[in-house]
Amino acid sequence: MKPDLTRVYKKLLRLYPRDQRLLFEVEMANTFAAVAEECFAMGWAAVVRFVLTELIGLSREIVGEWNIKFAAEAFRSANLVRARSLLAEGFAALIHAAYESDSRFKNRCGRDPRMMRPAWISWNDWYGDGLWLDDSSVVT
Amino acid sequence: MRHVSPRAKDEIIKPLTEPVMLILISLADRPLHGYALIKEIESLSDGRVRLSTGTLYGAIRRLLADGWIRRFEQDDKSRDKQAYRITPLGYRQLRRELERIEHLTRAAKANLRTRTL
Repeated sequence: MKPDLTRVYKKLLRLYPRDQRLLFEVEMANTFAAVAEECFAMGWAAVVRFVLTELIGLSREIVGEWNIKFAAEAFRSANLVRARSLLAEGFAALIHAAYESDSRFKNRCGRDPRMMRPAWISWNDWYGDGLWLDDSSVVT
Repeated sequence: MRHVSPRAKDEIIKPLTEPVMLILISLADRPLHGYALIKEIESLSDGRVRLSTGTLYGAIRRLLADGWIRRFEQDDKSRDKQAYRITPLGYRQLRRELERIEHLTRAAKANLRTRTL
């Protein structure tokens, strides 16, 4: 009496990710059934070898498919985080550009603090020997 | 700086795995379905390689995703068998891989000849 290996195989196919299973389930089961039939005709040794090969191949592929699926998910979520950060950076740059270019905003707050001489640095050390005419140019 | 000659994304040369190589060789002259592919690969490798169904369809899925093979509409759909055929891109990749192997074989033979002298 032949055991119904295809039924067991179909159950094992449920371990695949859903999209992969829907794509190949019927074909895989049919191919498996055809090869199983051939092996039964060749004897029990062939059947045992076939079952072992299939089990090893199937388990390796199932792990591989899930691995690909998880990696894709991780990549997608990482990209989402990156996109959000880029969006935030873009928004900040936009505000900065508006502040820098629009006279209604610019100069309201006085001088750029980055250009101001810290209190603990002497005038000569900070500005050198040049004669400062305004904030942006120096004549030596 | 990487000194790599610019190529289109789909034309990147990567060494093919044995199942992928055997599948492409089997499909090179005619479309085949899953079971026929297993038999063809077994015959090509003189019985050395017998792909499991899982390995075969895993490779088929990757080849379909890369666009190296595509599903082939058969007239007879009664047996629920789906045939696959190689695409021009897959054919190009196969040719490149064969050239790479030929080059390696030539280099290996030359080295072995020098060693025996």
